[in-house]
Amino acid sequence: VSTEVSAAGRIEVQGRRSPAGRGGAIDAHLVSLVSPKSFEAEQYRSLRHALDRTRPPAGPRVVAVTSPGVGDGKTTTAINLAGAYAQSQGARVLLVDADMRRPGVAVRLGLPERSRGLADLLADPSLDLDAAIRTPSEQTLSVLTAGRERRDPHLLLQSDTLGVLMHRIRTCFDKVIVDTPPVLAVRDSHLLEAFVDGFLLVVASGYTSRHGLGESLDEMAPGKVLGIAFNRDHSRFTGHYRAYGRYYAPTA
Amino acid sequence: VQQLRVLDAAIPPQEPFAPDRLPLLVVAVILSLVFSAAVLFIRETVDPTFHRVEDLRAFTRVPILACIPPTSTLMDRVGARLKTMGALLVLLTTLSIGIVAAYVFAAGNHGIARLIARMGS
Repeated sequence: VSTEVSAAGRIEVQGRRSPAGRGGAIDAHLVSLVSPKSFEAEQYRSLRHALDRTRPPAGPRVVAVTSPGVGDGKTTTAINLAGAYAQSQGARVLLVDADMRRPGVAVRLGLPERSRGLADLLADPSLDLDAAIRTPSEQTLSVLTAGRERRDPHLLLQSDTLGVLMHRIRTCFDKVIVDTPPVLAVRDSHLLEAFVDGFLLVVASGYTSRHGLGESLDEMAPGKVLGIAFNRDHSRFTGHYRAYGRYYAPTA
Repeated sequence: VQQLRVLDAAIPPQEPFAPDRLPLLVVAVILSLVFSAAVLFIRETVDPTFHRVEDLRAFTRVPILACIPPTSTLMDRVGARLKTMGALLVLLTTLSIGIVAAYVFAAGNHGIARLIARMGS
């Protein structure tokens, strides 16, 4: 297994498109991809810069995005953050959907759901990473979807293949954003802990509970928590902040 | 022969004699203010979520890397507009049903009819 993987060279990232007719449109909430010049996309760029400052000089290489529960905006944040990284010229950025129980990345990006992905790579070590990487139409971002293998995600993540795969991914990409399952729902994110540089925790305004956040922070290794992204924050972006943002909005 | 004499003619009151509406109105206004304040207070204390980034900062020392505004697409805005219009429609319907019901109920009762008429003006 390991020889097969280590023998493989760098993979070709550019140019792979989702099969015509099967891929849909990208969700309009993914502002980093659909409207990179917008005020909203600017916030994800500032998240990216803040994240990079947590691990000087170059920032964390592999960032897992998680949240206490379902519905905090974890997947949206992960995709937009990956999109913010992909805006850099020549950056090799990979987005991994490790939430194999409730995968959301493929649908949001208009990629075929029932194609090879992370679960398939973990279940069958002979598969090549290159064969599972997709690129949404008109994007430079590479995506590894959750996959179609339906074996228990917890068992898949426990296999030795995960370490080998993550090593391979690190050699092929400059930045890797991993969308992981919620901290409190399942214990999958613990299995990923050893292979990521840190976790970004998404907390939604008026949604995530104090209790949930407290428990999540207790569950996570303190050194691995890079920081919090406060999502759906209404309070700051009204009045002149908002008007200021409009000033920079592209005129159509 | 006994004669009946009207010593003092009874005059029907122009206005309803009772109840005295002003104190009732004052009490109702005060009670509703107190009640809504209590509901607000309870909701604020029971609500376990974070509303401002300051709430979050007070709760944990983990750095807050970014505040991200809610992203509203054209479809979201259209959806929100439709929802508002729907709510307005429900409100107007309920109000008009209430007004019609009040008029029907008060038909023949001049006191109540006068009161409603005065409230309306």
